[in-house]
Amino acid sequence: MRNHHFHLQYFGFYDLDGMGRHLEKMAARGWMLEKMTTFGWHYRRMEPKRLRFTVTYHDTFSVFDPEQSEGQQEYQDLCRQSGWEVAAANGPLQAFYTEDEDAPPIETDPRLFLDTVERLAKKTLSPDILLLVLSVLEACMLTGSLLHSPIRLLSSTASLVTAICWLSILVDTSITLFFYWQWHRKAIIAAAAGKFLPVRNHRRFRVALTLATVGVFYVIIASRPSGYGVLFLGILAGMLPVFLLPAMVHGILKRKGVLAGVNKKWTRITSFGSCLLVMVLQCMLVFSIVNNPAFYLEPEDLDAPLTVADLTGGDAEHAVHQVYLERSALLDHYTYTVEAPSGGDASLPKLSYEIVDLHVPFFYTLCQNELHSHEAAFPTFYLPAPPIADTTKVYALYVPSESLCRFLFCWENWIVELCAHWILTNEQLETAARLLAP
Amino acid sequence: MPREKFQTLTEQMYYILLCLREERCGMDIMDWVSACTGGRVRIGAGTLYNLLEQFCDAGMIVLTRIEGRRRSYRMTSKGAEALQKEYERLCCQAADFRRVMEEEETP
Repeated sequence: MRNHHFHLQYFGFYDLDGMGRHLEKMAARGWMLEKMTTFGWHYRRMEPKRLRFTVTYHDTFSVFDPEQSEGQQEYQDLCRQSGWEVAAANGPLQAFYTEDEDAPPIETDPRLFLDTVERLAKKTLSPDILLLVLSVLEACMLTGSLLHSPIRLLSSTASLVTAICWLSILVDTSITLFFYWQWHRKAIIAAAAGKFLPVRNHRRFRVALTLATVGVFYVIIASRPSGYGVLFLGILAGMLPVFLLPAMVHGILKRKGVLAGVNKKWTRITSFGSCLLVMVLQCMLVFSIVNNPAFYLEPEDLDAPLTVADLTGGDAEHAVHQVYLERSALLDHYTYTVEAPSGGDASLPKLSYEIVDLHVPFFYTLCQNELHSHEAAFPTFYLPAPPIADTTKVYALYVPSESLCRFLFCWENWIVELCAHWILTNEQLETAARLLAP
Repeated sequence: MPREKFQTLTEQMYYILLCLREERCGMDIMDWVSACTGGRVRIGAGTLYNLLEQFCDAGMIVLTRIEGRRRSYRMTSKGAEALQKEYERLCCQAADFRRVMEEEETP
């Protein structure tokens, strides 16, 4: 049977009551709080007991102090006198317990408690407010991309992962700030009446949001080759030093008894330095992968559904083929072009087409509109054309001054934009539509 | 507009100042207040610590002695003035109450 236990804690910073109730439940199950750290709480095995717990916060006690300050010792002595023993302390946060059901509470003034929470909120919520602003800006940019270039956005796994990250941050910070604002408003009224206001914790919501985000990540990454999963885990693992290095430096300096101010300075320098280092290393990693030829598919690895030879019957062997394929869980985007090499036969017909294969029909209209507006600025525009083969709709681009043949073929969840640099005959159009069909 | 700090005193602030007319240490303050009020007013250890710190910062009490981990405090003239003001405010409230109740009783 294990004698030690660790878990992360998801309580809101002002839910000291919730923390206390949680510790009481743990004590009833035989676990006593032993240590509180930035990453979570450590417990040790004990005989199950019914205990009362109170968690308090006092901002003059610093996590950087090499040992307990005199003020902190006096604070704990006063608590001890009224029957409360210290379970664990981590700078300003302290947990006390008592077996005495009649021991007076440690905090008895609601207005004073609210003042403490307000000071704590200024420190804790500033990063949340910054993240909220950034995530709103990012959401606006993503919305713009979704409306103007949905195919590029939805076919890119990296863009989808980034979008999910920012969406989660937006939801989490909005909920955190909203719940705090709502509680604070009511707590002021309660404090004026001499009462404490309990906190409605949204811990389960935050856990559910984290699990949902991880689940969506998994679905998005799983649709890609396994190398992407490894890359993603590598990027995540690479972020660990950002948290671990400053914590290590802080712990080492504290054990050596270094002054609080010096400890704080070096911890901050390490934090900044590790962020910078991780950012540079990850950029180098992504850059080296993206520029690795093995990352790209060779044209001969893909069977082009339509070639120039299918339409003209001619020999396009010496032509330059370019194939570009971007895939994600939401859609596949396939671009194929063929043209003469530089200095080669200029009379070789040029052909290009884009295929959009939607896995989620919801985005069909957005993608169709994007292709519809491709180079369709005045004086060119798409006109409806008679259906060809088994297409649901066909559009032909009217270009007044060039001999350019551009068509948009639409099927259910499958859209193709075809561009030929010669005027296609009806037979050639039928062949193209037949070969490009899903 | 936020209320100026210590413009009016809460019950706990009032009894802490009252207790510190004489030099006392933090541990004795809790017992004294409870005994003086017959257990009606109980000051939590955390609240007491915070209030002693705030009173010191406001110059209403002063640290007089440190013996190991025991710190003793005493009220200053500024604290005495605030206590007196609060007492007079409470007396006015009590007088208003008596006057209104007597008016209601007299036909």
